[in-house]
Amino acid sequence: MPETPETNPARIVADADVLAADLLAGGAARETMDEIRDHSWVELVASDPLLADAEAVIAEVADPDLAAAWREEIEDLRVAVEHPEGDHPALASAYQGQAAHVLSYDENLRGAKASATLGSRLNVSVKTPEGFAALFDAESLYEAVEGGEYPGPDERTIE
Amino acid sequence: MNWADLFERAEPYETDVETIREALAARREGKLQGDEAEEEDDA
Repeated sequence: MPETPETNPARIVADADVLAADLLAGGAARETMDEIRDHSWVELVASDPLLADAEAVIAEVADPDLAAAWREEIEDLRVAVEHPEGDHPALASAYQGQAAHVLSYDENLRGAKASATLGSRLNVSVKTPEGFAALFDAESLYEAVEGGEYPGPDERTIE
Repeated sequence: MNWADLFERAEPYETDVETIREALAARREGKLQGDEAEEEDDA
């Protein structure tokens, strides 16, 4: 892979386990995804293979119709990227989308595998949703990324 | 459908992260094995 010089701190990749947990388990995964849904300038980056993994998990653990409905909603939220077949969907989505954060419950992804895959090519942080939620500060991130005073959650807020 | 409706519809299927992790690991492991089998067939 060629060098990629910069990442965008407002671009986030949620691995398929976090995407499914947002829908089916709640907790920190829901809290983190709500931050993305609540702020249109925070972007969820995801490839088709990444969404396909999450959709398959939702179909397996819950229901295929629910999985299809989830796919329709997430398509409106995500920034689509493409990557070579066989690459890890979350890591490759981060690389292709210049995302600064990958959220995953996979301990391997948070350790050596991510380092070996990405190495010095991409300054990406792999965290659990719990870890990310504890650190996420919309106000300071807005000032850094968008500039100006943080306006609060915008039009993607769930009623 | 919006997200609020989707979460309401998902409530009967509520599960834990470990179950989700296992399902994803099985899918990715299966895909990985499938890819390796295809490569062997191609060779």
